[in-house]
Amino acid sequence: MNDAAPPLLDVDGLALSLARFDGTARILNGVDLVVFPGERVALVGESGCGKTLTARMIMGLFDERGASVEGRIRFDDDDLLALDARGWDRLRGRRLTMIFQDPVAALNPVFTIADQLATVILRGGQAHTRVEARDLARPALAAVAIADPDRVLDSYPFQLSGGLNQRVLIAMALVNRPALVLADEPGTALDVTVQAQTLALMHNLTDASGAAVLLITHNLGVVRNFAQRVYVMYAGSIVEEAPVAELFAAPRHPYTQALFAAVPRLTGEGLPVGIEGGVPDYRVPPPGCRFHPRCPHARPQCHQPPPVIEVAPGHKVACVLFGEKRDG
Amino acid sequence: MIKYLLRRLAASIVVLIGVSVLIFLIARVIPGDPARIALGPMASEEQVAQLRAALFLDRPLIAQYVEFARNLLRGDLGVSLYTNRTVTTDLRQFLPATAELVAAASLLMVVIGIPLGVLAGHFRDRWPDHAARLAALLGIVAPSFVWAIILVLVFSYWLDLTPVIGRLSDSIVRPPVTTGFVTVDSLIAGDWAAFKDASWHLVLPAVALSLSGAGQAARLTRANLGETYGRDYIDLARAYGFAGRTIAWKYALRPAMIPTLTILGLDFAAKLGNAFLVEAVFAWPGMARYGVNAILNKDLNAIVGTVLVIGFGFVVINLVIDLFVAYLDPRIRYRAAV
Repeated sequence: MNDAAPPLLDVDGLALSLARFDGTARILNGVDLVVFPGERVALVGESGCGKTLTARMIMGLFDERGASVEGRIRFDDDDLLALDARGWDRLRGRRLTMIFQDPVAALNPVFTIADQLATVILRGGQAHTRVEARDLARPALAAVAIADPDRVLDSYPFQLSGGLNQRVLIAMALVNRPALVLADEPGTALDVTVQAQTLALMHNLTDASGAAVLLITHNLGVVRNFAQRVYVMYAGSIVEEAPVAELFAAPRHPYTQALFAAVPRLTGEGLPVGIEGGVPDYRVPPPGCRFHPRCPHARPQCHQPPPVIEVAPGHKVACVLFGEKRDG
Repeated sequence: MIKYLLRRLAASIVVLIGVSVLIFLIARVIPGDPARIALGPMASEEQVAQLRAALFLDRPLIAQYVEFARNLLRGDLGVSLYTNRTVTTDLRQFLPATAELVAAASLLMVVIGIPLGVLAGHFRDRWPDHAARLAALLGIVAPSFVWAIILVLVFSYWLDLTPVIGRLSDSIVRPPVTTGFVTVDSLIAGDWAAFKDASWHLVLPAVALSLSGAGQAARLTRANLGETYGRDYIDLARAYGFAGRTIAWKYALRPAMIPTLTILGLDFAAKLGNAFLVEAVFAWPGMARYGVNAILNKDLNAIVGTVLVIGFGFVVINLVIDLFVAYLDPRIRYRAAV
């Protein structure tokens, strides 16, 4: 990526604590993440690490009471954490869109696809009447490889397969030519082949339209062919960031390495290796590096906040193990 | 949709047959001899026996029911022993007043209760929600006849705004009957004075009858809307920048109305029964006095007629609600079609 261009999305030190009746949960612990225009970035981590929450905060969907938020989210020239309703109106569904995890649940069951898609298209400003919106919806659906757009438009979500609903969501996300699409585990609720198709479609369409994508996933396998850069998240912190080839060739953080060891392989011998222990209790998170209780290389320094070390250009690791290998 | 309609209709007919059997039997196990009550203590045994024979009361129950059903199919509910007119004549006189009251109350219940519920659901846990919930609770805690008395006290006696009894003032000439609803009839006749007077008479009883249902409607709407707001498709609507109003009134309300209406259907129908007490407070010339007299006098045909009409009302209202729910919920329409 051209580092000279300013990032499209810049999440800087995002931290979130939630006051619950049984204590304060420190869920996000300083997330730093950037997405450049037209770039495809993946955010990888296991369930409960805060990656979906990060996406919801970027989209402004997180509005739970008793939450205290620190840090900054910039999108273009807007500060998303301080954005008013008019600002959101300018961005949502226009410059910034989102693809949800479960396509069947994400579409309203009692309205037709035509109704839901038209509402989005009308917001985009390319069409001014429902008829015009429908005329734009047809090619948008054809672009996601839907052979009979009119039948799909006149259907309700429950009449379509999961894969078709997923493609409708992709069409919805791209029809207004957004600058950034947040994709929260697209297709995870569907079977593996559909998920692969989904990502291939998104790859090609965003390549063509120049939209940036932030893909949120727990599956390292899908990242390789999709993203250009990867962030690995553990328990509310980014532990490693790297260009995709670099990460797959030389994962550095012990958590990333453990994630790779946990991926099932068709060719290897033996079963994948799980990671000992579980995601920490966010009310009493381990001090310092949150991974150290599960880490085979843990040492006393791990109780301090880990340094972020750039081990190679664009490859940063938040781990004390690499402190001596600093090359800059 | 047609198939769904036919299936619901068939089910309704079964229910109506069941109701007719049940009410026929209940009316006949109430102690006391209707012929004796009708003729009074001075009548001779022969006269009583004669009337019993005329009413088929000396025949086995099955034969009585067959006779009853045959007449029912012809639209003949027999003669009331108390008014000495056919029951259908009596019903034609009293039913429209009750129906008008129930229809007005149901309308009020929807236009008060559902917006209140949307307000509460949309501003969940903020002050409009607390206010709406309090209002809804107030509507529910007192039965409709208590509300009737409170409303009469406040609006008729203290403020002297509304009439206390009946459907029309004596000074107003009743417009020609077409629907039996005085308000609608006066509108059809273009008689504004009568319309105003009839509406003014209708408003208190209708409000009294609607309040508990409106409270219930508000609570149901709020609860179901709250459930809908947790769904992914509402997140999606927000993520795509749909206006809060559009989300509340369209994308969230429509799915939320499906369970709400299904339960409210019973509230609509229960108004037919609750109307009796409200009618008593306002001297509303409806079914209440007729039904009560029929029971006290063991006027078999009138009891059966009154209950059948109410049962029929229940079935029709539920059928309408079911169809409306099917209209709102495509899943019901399409499942029924296959």
